[in-house]
Amino acid sequence: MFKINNARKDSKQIQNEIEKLEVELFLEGLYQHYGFDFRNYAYSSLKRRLSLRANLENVKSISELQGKVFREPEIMKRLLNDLSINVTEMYRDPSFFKAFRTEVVPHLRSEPSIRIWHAGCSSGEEVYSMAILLHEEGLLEKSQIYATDMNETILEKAIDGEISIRHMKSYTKNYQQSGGEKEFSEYYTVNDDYVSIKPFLKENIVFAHHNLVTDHSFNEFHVIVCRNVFIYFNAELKNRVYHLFNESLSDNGFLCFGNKETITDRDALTFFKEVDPIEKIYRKESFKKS
Amino acid sequence: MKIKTKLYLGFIAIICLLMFFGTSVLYIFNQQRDNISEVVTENYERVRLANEIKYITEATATNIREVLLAAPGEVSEDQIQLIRDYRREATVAIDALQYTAKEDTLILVSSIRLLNSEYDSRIEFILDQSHGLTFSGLNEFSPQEREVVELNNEIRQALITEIDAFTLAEEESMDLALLESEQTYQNAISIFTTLAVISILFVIGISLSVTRSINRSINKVRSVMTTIGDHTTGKLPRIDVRRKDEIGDIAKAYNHMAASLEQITEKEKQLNDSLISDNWIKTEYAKIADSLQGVQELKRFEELFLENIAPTVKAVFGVFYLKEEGNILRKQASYATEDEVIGEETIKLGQGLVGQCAANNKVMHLENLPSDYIATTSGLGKAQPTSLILLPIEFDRGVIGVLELAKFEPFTPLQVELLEQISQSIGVSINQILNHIKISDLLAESQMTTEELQSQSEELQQQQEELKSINEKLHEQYKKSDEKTKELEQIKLDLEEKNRNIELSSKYKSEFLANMSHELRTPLNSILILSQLLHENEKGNLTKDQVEHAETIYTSGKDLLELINDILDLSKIESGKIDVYAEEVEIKDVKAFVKRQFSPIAKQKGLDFNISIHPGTPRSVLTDDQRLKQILKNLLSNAFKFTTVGSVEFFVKREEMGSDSNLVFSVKDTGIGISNEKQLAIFEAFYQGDGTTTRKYGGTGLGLSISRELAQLLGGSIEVQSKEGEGSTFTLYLPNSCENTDDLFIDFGKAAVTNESEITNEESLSREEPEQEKAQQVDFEKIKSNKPLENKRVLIVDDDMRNVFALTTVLENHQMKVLFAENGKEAIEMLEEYQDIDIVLMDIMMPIMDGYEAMKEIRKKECFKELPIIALTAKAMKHDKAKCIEAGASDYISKPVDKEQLLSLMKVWVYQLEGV
Repeated sequence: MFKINNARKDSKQIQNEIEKLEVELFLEGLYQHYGFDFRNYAYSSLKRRLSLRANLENVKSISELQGKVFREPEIMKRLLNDLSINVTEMYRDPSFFKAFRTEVVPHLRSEPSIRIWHAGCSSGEEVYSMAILLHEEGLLEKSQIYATDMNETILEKAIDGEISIRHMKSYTKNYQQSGGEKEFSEYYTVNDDYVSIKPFLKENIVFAHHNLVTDHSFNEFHVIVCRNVFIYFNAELKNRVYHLFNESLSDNGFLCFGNKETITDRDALTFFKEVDPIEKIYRKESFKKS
Repeated sequence: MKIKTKLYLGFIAIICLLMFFGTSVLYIFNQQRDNISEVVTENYERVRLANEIKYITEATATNIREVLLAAPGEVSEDQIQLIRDYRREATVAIDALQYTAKEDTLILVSSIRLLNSEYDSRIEFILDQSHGLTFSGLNEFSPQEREVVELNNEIRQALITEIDAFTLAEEESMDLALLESEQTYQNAISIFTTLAVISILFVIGISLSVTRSINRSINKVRSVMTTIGDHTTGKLPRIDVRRKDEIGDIAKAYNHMAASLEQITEKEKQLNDSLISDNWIKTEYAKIADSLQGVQELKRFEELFLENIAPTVKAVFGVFYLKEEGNILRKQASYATEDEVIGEETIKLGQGLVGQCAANNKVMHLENLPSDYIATTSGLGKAQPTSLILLPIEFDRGVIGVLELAKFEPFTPLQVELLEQISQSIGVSINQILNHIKISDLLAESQMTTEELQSQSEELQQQQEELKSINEKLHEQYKKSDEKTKELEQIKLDLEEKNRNIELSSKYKSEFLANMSHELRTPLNSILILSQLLHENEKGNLTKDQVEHAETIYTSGKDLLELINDILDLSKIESGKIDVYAEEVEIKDVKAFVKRQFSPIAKQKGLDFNISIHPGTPRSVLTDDQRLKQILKNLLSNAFKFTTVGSVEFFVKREEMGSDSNLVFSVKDTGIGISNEKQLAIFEAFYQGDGTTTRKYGGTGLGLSISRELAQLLGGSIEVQSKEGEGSTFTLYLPNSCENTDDLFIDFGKAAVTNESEITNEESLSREEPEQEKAQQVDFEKIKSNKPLENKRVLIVDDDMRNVFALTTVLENHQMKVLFAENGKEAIEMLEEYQDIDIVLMDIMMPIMDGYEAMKEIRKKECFKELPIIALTAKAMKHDKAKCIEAGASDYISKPVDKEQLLSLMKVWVYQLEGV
């Protein structure tokens, strides 16, 4: 009995190892063939996404999926959508936006112009939320928001600024909880089953394609918002992006993570100091050698 | 000699001198006084005594004279006594004089005494004589007496002389004494002066000598003491103590003090030294602690520690070992001035010096060791220094590591102490770091889990989203396919049903037509002709009743014939080829027709027959008279046919059905009724309940079928309500297409609709025209009136509060009652709650339920079919307007709303409502 159990465990282990190898090979292949670099994404998440796609494509293994993906760019497109998780909300985690209002905005007021980078903006809900917030604080006019994502399909959706009407009730609630005191309905117009973000909110937003894994710094920002992106990265990739952000932040610039994301890397902690430990707002400190 | 003694002696000498001087002066003054007192007391006393004696002698003499002169017997005893007293006093005084008299005057005193005694005896004699003698005065004296007196005088004279001599002698003596005393005074003055000068000289001499002697000693001490400040070496000068006086004591005390000071200085120096070393330890300790501050990485901590501690103690080599599981010490960091790699990687507990140090938990300090000894036994490998120290790193009474340092010169005690102190406290820090590492590892792990959970949750959320949309699509598809299936099923059922009906009716038709059609006409013709003849009553042998009966036979027959014709034309009816001729049919004509036709039957069957026309029923109706009567006749025939007991009721009324109004003709009986299953079947051609019914009641079974077809042709319908055994109500609904009541005018819109679709009769149309014009005129007049919107209730449906406020203000200014709903759903609820809403302003873009949906929902309800709804929308496109109207809007106005435009529009719509 014991032996059988052991054997089963062993076979499970072997299975796991094979899967890991398959995933690694697949990612390497993906990188070499298409140029998409997911090699440093968090393994468990990747495995789940790939398995799901394999399942949907009716193939039995990731290796099989690999063959299909290499030959059929259509599947690659679908896979790309699988790999970019586009879960977002307007005023997602309202308390973050509330904290942003009280802890970050006062520091931005004195700036003659404000540059904000929203990395991993997905379908743009949080970018528009930020634009609304800045508008209400009277800062939107002098702000330029750069909203980037690696998924071009979702970027197009973000540019459209159309949100399904069925979410609006909960978004309105989020807005109110985030400290918004105006009418949320001022910021959108309703069209059948979706709402459109009003154009004036889009004026100071640039949507652009940018991949945190491969691309470099493209400007210096006062604020970088990168929420719920790091959860898909492994430590190595995280470290790369920490440096990318450090390069892209002005002195005393703010870095905002998702509320489940904490900088644990000791190296990164030397240049990012915690401002709000709950809402995960960090601030860049000019590096001083003691 | 002590200063005290010196001073005492000096003072005593001065005192003695002063005493001697005083005594001398006193003595001189005493002598002076003695001299003077002798003069004053003794000489004077003696002179006084001599004078007293003189005086007493004189007094005695006086008294004796008196005694002598006195008459005998006249001498008083008192006088005698007085004389004797005088004599005694004289004796006493002489005694006193003798007592005090000096030797040189004693002879005089003796002579005085002698004379006095003589005088006494004389006196005594006189006195004794006196008793016997009688003196009669001097002249009368007897010679004896005279002699006595004479003698007496002599003696007295001698005595006084002697006394005067004595007095003189005394006075001389006094002058002498005064002279002497003057001399003595002069002497005293000179002695005093001399003594005073001598004394002063002595005092000065003594003072000077004492002062000088003291000063000299003090100067000696002072000169030593003033040099103290110049001695910086710690050794203080001493005073040579030879004297035993107070200065000597001071010198001794100073020497003692100097010794103490030297001692204190020594101690202070020692303390200072220890403080400096202490301070050094502390400073170095703090420096090292400071440099390690906040270092959380073990390796970095140990490297930093070695880098700091080794130069501090001038060590050239250093290795740091930490104890691992399995009693192995592993090298963590090493330090060497030449950057060499030194130290063994791992050392077992107890092995070599490092191992021993860790095992024994004791500092090992080795000096002057042969280089090869260190090389072989320590962790430093090939390095060859001569001094070595190994310190156990302790935490919680256990060794957690070893610090080994080596140098070429010996470790100073200070360095050793610093090392010991540091190695004692470093254990805590290392343990803290180890704990911190553990915690941060755990934290990182939990963070990873958190992120993993978050990513999973996002993935799930995404999947859920996807599933939701897939589900929605599926649901929609399912709904569609379900509907289609149902539709198909229904169609199939309908088809089957139709098929069956067709088969059945064609069978009935063919049978019926075969049996009846032709043969029927011949007998019917006979009946008609004969009954007409009877009715004419040419012979006049028939009663009036009989004539009437004949007429009935005739008319019924005629009806029957028509009916048969109709039956024959049934296909024509069904294919809609029968023409309907609309004409104004007076309701009262209908009523008369019904009464005429069926009263006899009712009477005959003993049934109550009620005919009524409800109030509000139009006077006339535009329809085909023949067909209407045909239908009514059919319905009534059936009613009477199937009713044996009870009543048959016929009534006409107007009924509103939503926007339409119908004219209703009802026939209600208390007959056999129709079961629910058969209620549909009875309208089918050639059907008559069941076979038995046909046999029992007769009839073609065609009546209802034809009636229904005819009703449809007239634009109406027939409905049946029935309960088996209780009776039936057949109702004919006719559209009130040409109603004409006294109190209503015709809505021109409706008239127009009717005009187009139904009414073909030119005449009837032309008849309506004046009515229309009239209605329109009324409308426009009312619109022009001042406050058309007053007290009208308006419902604003808009989620844009600004808009709501703006509209509310404008409308309230026109005395409208404004209600407000934020979305379509709320609007519907409001409409349900407030039945008197006159008009709705509906925004299109709203949350929850938008305007389109809301309007569709509202229009679904019969009672809101005519409710004016004005759509407000920001959209400008033409097709958007169409979309609003399609959704049920009465009208449309663009946002931003033009106030005047909105008001005009509302006036129109509110008034139209009133018009209806």
